[in-house]
Amino acid sequence: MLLSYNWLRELVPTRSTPRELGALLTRVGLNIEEITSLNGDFTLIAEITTNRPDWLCHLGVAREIAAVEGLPVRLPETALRETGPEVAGLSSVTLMPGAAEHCPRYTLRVIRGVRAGPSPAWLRDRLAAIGQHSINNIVDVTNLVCFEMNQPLHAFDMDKLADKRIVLRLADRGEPFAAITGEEARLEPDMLVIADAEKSVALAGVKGGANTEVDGNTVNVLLESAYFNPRSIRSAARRTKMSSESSYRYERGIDPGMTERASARAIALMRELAGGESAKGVIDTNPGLNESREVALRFSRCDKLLGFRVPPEEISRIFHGLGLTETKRDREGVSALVPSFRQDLKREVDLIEEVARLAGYDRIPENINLPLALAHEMPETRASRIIRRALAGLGYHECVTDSFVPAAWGGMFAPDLPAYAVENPVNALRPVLRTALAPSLLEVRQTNRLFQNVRLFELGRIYCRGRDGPVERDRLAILDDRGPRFVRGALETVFETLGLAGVAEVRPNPALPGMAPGSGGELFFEGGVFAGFGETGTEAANHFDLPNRPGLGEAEIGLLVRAERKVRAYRPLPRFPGVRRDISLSLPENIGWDRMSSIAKRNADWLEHISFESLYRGAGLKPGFKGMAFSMLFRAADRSLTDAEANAVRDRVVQALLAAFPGSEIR
Amino acid sequence: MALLDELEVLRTAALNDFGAAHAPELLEQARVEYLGRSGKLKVLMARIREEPPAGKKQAGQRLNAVKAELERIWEERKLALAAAVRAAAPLFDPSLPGLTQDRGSLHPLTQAMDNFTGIFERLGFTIRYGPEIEDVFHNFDALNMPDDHPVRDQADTFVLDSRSILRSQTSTVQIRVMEEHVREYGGGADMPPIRIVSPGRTYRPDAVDATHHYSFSQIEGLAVDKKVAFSDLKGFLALFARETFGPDTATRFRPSFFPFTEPSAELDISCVFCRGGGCRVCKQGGWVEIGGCGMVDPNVFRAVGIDGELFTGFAFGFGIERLAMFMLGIDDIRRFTENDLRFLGQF
Repeated sequence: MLLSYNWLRELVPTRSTPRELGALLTRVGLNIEEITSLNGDFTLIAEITTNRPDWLCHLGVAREIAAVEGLPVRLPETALRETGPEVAGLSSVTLMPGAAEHCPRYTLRVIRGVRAGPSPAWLRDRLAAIGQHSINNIVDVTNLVCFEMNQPLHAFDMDKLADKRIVLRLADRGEPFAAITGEEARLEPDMLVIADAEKSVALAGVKGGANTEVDGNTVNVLLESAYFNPRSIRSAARRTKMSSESSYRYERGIDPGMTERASARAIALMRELAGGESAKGVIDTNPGLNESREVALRFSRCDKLLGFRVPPEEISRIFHGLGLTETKRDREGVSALVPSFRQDLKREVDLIEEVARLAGYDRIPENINLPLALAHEMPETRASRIIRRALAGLGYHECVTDSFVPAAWGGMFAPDLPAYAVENPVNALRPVLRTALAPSLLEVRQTNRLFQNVRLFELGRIYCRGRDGPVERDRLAILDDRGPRFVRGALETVFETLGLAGVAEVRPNPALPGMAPGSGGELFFEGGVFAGFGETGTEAANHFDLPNRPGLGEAEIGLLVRAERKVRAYRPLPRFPGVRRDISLSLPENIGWDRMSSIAKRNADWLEHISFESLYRGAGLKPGFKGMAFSMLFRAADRSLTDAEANAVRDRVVQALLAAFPGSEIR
Repeated sequence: MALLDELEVLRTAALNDFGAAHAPELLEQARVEYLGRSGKLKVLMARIREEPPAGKKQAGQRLNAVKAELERIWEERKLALAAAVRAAAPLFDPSLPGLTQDRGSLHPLTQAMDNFTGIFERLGFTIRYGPEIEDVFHNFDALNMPDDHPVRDQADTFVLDSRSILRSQTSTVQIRVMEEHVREYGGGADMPPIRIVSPGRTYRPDAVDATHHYSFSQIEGLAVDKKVAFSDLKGFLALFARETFGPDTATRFRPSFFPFTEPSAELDISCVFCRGGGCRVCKQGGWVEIGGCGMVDPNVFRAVGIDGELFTGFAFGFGIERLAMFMLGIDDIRRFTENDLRFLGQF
């Protein structure tokens, strides 16, 4: 919204400079973003919040200045010399059934014998200051009044209206409507149409239709000034996808007390600028429309909400300045009639806000009186902090990636999860909410193609359709150029940091989606899968055009969050030395470390630790066999183990392994 | 030769050899030769049995004395050689660059969010999360944004299906937490206070440019109690601003409008770059807007079933990307989701 400084000064006798006015208005909530100058005037560029439609005109802003500076408002001249015949003899308004609900008040005035032509310089300058082009003196007057009094006006060329009269009716279902701007829409029976005796001429409050506008040849003008129901206008504008300066104002709520005065002001100006004679009186469907209401404010409530006391006398002064009329006042509070131009003031809290605003937000003290309260650290927060720090410490860089992804990614990495696609994507290439995090990290890997040994992670959500509605789950994804063993190691370190060392069981899953066949493994905990890892598969590596196949892993965080062991029991430090024994075996290819080590663990007394040493493939082995070496540390709590004892345990482990995996041998 | 004479010869030879050993390995050889398990000294000791009884005692004493002496000399020599080896080792050159592991990093948005949540937690606010896929009630209606009101115009959302949208603000979590609270305690006099902050992702179908993205993060806070006033909000946010931007930071409330609060305010801080003097960052105004806030609107309390006569509340919200950009001097919001390692590695 653009405001002219000169125009404002006509409506309120302020002595403030444009800059001072800008600061003053910003302080009371009308944000002035910029001030420019043009032709001896200044333009204030204002950002107007939806609750203050009254600020969409100069009169409303002048009222605010008057309220702050304690000045009177000079209302625009609305006196009108009516020299023509009675308006009732020239035109009429017919309200068809149901129309009144959408249009509480509709007025018409007539001026005949005008000479449409260019506007005088002062009017052109005024419109220029607020960024409007001059069209002709008749149209310019309607615009001027609109930006002055926030009342949209519509000037019909009376001679283009069939029977020179107006009919307000509800649209027929599917009725076609062609706006003068070229837009088209099908109407619904809850939309109001303005028609003449034969045809529709406008979608009420939104757009003009058939050409009944004034032009250079117009002689007789029928001037519409109406108060439409804000909801009706908004609903019609939204559904027909049409909008205008008028609908913008109507749907926010204009001043229902201004309908007739704005029309008088416009006719007087037209007469002055374009000649002609104005008909006597006004056709008005509801001259008694009164939208002012009484609202009460309790001083105690005001104090309680604001946390400081504004004296009742000051409240009265503020109300008076805002144009509120006090109707009742006692020690408890005050009631006031709200003028029709402040449709936003309906409740006590609305009045309290006005008190705070005009008293000045700067006067509100900075209190710190809130009673103590314990803030709990939510398990999710705690776990995510621990995980993030652990991974950053291991050299991984945290990423934050877009929740929207290309549709193909889900098929590669989460073919079983039904994804959501948005109906109105901003980026047409990324219309789907991600069902996996790993592909997002592959994309980041692609972005960083100039780097080597990249290590990445992300903690984020995935989204999918569930049986009972949307499902959102927190996930951890890890990418490591050094390969999937490092990913598994990083995942295991994360568990360890959460106090969950050694609780997960690992099983191979040769067909893990997105991973190279045979490279995938899954981590099980409390009976369910909660993480998968492996080497990036060919399809994904090709899709992201990667030079390598990074290790990838993805884990559900929810389970870890719930399982975290916050209290960890102390284990006394060992007092006796341990004994180490190494074992090297040849095993069938399909036997993994996890299966082998679990058998070893089951058969070894005093086993403190078992560690993988090496994997060997090549000469000296039977076909289909691999060599695996590992080391075990035995320790008793109460004495030093003898060599013989350690050897016995080692032999038992070896026997158990040889028995479990036929064909295997000691190497 | 008599045993004692042989002993003297051995002693002299051993002292010579120990002294001549100029490396730890040679000294060890010499030790094995003279003092080892089957060394020359052991051999002589075995011969005591053959001595006449009168000489046995004297020979034994002399043997033990020589053994102790040799062991002492050997020990001294060993330490001296080890010291010599250490002394000969190349000196550390402290001018060389340090050796370390590759450092990882936390994303700047995480760090910013952690800073903010940390401050709010220290002030007694619990972090709560909520769904990003929301319904219209929680995203709009309960927040006093009815469908037939123009406030909905500025709040376009991503639509998933007839029931679901992506939340356009984290205020949805306020509603969910209040509903949960009311279910548990009722919304009347016995309801305990609420103090939460909810960080998270939000979405609006805006075109992407240097300062706009369709996905961004917010942190939203809510305090509901029997005595919470606008002045408490102002004091609370002043603490937050000073903790975040430095102890000299001034704060200012400017009237504004949000459908879910009344009275509402924009929170401005004195520009941290020019200390209020006016610069490019604050567009010469000396103040920078960092977030919105206000007192919970009675209609919001009504929507969740809290008695708005008994309870008052304040709410506030900040855009994390915007604040992080401001604080770190980042000029393009797209940097955050690109994840260029040259960017991430800076934090």
